[in-house]
Amino acid sequence: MAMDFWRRLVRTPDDFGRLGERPSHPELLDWLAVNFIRQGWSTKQLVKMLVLSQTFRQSGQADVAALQVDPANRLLHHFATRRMQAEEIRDALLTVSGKLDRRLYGRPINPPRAVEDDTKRLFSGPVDGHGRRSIYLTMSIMAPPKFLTTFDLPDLKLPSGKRNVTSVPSQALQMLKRSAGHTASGPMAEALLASGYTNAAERLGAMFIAAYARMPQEQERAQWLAYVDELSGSGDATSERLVWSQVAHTMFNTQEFIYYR
Amino acid sequence: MLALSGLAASHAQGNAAQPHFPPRAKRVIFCFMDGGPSHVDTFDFKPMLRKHQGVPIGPRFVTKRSQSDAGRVWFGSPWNFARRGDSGLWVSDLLPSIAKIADQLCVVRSMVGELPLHGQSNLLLHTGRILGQAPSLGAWISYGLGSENENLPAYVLLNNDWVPNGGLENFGSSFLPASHQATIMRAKGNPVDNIQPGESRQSQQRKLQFLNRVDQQFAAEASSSAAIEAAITNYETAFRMQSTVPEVADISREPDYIHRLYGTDAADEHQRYYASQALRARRLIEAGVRFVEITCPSFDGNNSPWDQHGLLKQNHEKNARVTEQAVAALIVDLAQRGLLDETIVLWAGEMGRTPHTPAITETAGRDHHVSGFSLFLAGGGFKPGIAYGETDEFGNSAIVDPLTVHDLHATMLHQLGLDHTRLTFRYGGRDHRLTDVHGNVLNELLS
Repeated sequence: MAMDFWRRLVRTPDDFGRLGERPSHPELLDWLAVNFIRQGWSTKQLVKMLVLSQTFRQSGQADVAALQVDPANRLLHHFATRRMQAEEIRDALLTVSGKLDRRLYGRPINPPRAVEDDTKRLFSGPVDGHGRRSIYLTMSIMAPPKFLTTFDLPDLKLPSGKRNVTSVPSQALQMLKRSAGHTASGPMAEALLASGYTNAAERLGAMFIAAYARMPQEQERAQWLAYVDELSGSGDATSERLVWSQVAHTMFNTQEFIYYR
Repeated sequence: MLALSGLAASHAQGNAAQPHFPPRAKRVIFCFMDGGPSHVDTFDFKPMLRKHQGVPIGPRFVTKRSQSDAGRVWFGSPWNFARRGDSGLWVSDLLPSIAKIADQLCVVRSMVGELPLHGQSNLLLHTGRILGQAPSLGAWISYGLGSENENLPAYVLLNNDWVPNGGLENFGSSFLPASHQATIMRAKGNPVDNIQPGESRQSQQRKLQFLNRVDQQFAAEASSSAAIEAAITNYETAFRMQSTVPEVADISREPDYIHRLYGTDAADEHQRYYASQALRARRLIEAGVRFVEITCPSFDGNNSPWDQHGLLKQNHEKNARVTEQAVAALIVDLAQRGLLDETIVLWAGEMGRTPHTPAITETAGRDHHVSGFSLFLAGGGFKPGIAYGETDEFGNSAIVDPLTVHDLHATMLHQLGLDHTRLTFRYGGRDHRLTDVHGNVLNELLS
């Protein structure tokens, strides 16, 4: 993600050089390159420096005056709204449901598959991946993990400096689906109910922090609490757990959940 | 006509969503004969093979485009051939229903591939490149023409979760936007991934209405709202797809005579499967889908159904039994409905099979062969009742009018109103196209 942010310095990373676009900050790019060599070619150090920079740590709130001068945000005056990549979405679902296994390394895990084929070494794994981060999913060029390809995981054979960000109905279908969303929403609801918050407003606040890293505004709180009431009153959610599971599922399906800003 | 691609963002530099010139055809149904049906046992009649049965082929007929060596022996066809219909096209007894409609077929007998290997040949047939890393024929057509129905994808693959040689990349969009990749539709159970809602319609509608409100607010505050608005639209489309897709996939209310025509009531379960998918293909194109591909069912653990390295007679017969009635039915059905003229039906495998074999035995088979093989097209303005191109007297190599997959692709795109040299997409510093830097439109195939 850090690299993606800073890739805005050159908008055509797949055409770096004569055939591509000129960088927006050529001196900065040069400095970064020279510094990278000087500090010993450590990608880790480079990334750390980028994410600790003031530019990277800007808020997503765009200043109106700045937007008028630079509507495309070429000069990086705010953290641009952008959608999470496929792996980030999957990992976010694991995180908010409390299922994320933060351990590093270890054997990769297979994604869920409808049909296994051992001649192609295509095996099926659990829907929640046992909480392992997406980086540990077994990548088969024959049949990459479906959850990820739906959110624009590139063709595994193609070097991709910049991923496509498409918006397609299959993404909606996937997030609305029982197993993808509900595998996370059930546990999230359980954790919430076990957390000690007793009233709806408190619970909503906790969910907002987990899902959006912010508290709801007045009008939003009212809106969501009305939704909670509607769910509780309907015949569709017959227990507290089911009500809050629905709320969680709804939150995962909002665009804000999968966008940075 | 809102193309299902929504508002694809990113570097979509290219011409798309309408034909370059008035098209002759509007859509394609591709009956993919996975594994490579033998040309000398279907459309390429070579009596010399029986005459020289068991005779070593010698070094002259060895080619890198065939699994060949000088010691292999000529292997005559176990099936008889006959001239069919008014056209007099040679078709073997292996394909009786298809033989009956020979007058509708544009047979090509001089296809030449690059490598006699499944993965690479599959990728060549589907993406135009032996290494893949490029979009599928269906994806290019989706990109070039869009879908006629906003509630259905432009490119549908009728499959049963089988992964073919070369992988799902055969049906993928590669560097084209993801909306152009194939949507897989199964015969049983959930037709399309995630299409059954996990909750009651009422519960889902409540959720979707609430989402719509929340997302509109988010879009208003975001600095670039186009993608978010597209996502909002997609939730609406997804909701509609939940009823449209199962409805199109439901073949139960087709009349009896149609079921009998296709063979959906056959004794063999694999034949029933294929027949139901073929019928589904017709329904899909009627509903506005641009490109439908049907794959052959794998059985006995063989994931390249027509790949008969052994047991040629038994298993080619099985594959024929499973598929050929439905393929013929599809063509007849389309013709009866006045749809054949604007629908290109393609019957093709990624390779042919060797006219020779290591030894003549009861269980002999044929191996991979791309130095000359056959396929056919029907409808879509392709000239019916002709055979284009020829192989040598043993069916070994194309010697008259050889053509490649690129020529086939160029000609198909032409019929769809697309100039294969102008349907491009910029990626990696250059403009790419399905035919890469190859391909000629072959007017001799067209009426």
